[in-house]
Amino acid sequence: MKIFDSTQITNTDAIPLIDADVPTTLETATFALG
Amino acid sequence: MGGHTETLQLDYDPHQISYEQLLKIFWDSHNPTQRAWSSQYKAAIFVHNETQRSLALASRERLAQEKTGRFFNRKVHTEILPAETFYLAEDYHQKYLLQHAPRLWGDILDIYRDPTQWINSTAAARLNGYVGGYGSPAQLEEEIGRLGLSPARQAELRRMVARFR
Repeated sequence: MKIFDSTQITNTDAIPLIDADVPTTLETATFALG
Repeated sequence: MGGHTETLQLDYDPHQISYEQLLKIFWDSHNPTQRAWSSQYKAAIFVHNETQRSLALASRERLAQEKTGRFFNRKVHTEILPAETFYLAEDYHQKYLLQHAPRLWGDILDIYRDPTQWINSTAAARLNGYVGGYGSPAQLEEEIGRLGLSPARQAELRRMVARFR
């Protein structure tokens, strides 16, 4: 799963490295804190 | 919308943090002995698979069995339920604290024009945390060059984070 497609963003010169490097093996967790 | 529960959903890298660690943060972040006022504001873990269900149940059981601490001898009301349909909240709820830091927010909007992009952005999520007082100056220094901020906004964020210490 890849949730962030850094090839689709507007200003490609400024892509945060942290987003350009999103791994493909993310998992999802969901919580409600009341 | 009726019958819904307000939740937070996160996508995480299991090589960086485990579901067990997330569960610990969850239990430390709310009072599980408080009875819910409504379905909208109840406390719950919405599990996505059998592994999550087992870990969530075990973590709740451990909490219920504790013989000391603030929850001793009190009923745990936090529910464990299957994750079903998740609806994103409106854009103005997303990365809420960051949206109220106008200059930092401006840098993010310069990069991501489509809300879906900044809602899914790890950089925006990290910045939202720092603006809210979560994260140390040392943590920030380790990653500030990878968050997509201009030098001026980097300096601003350093000052903000330093003030929380």
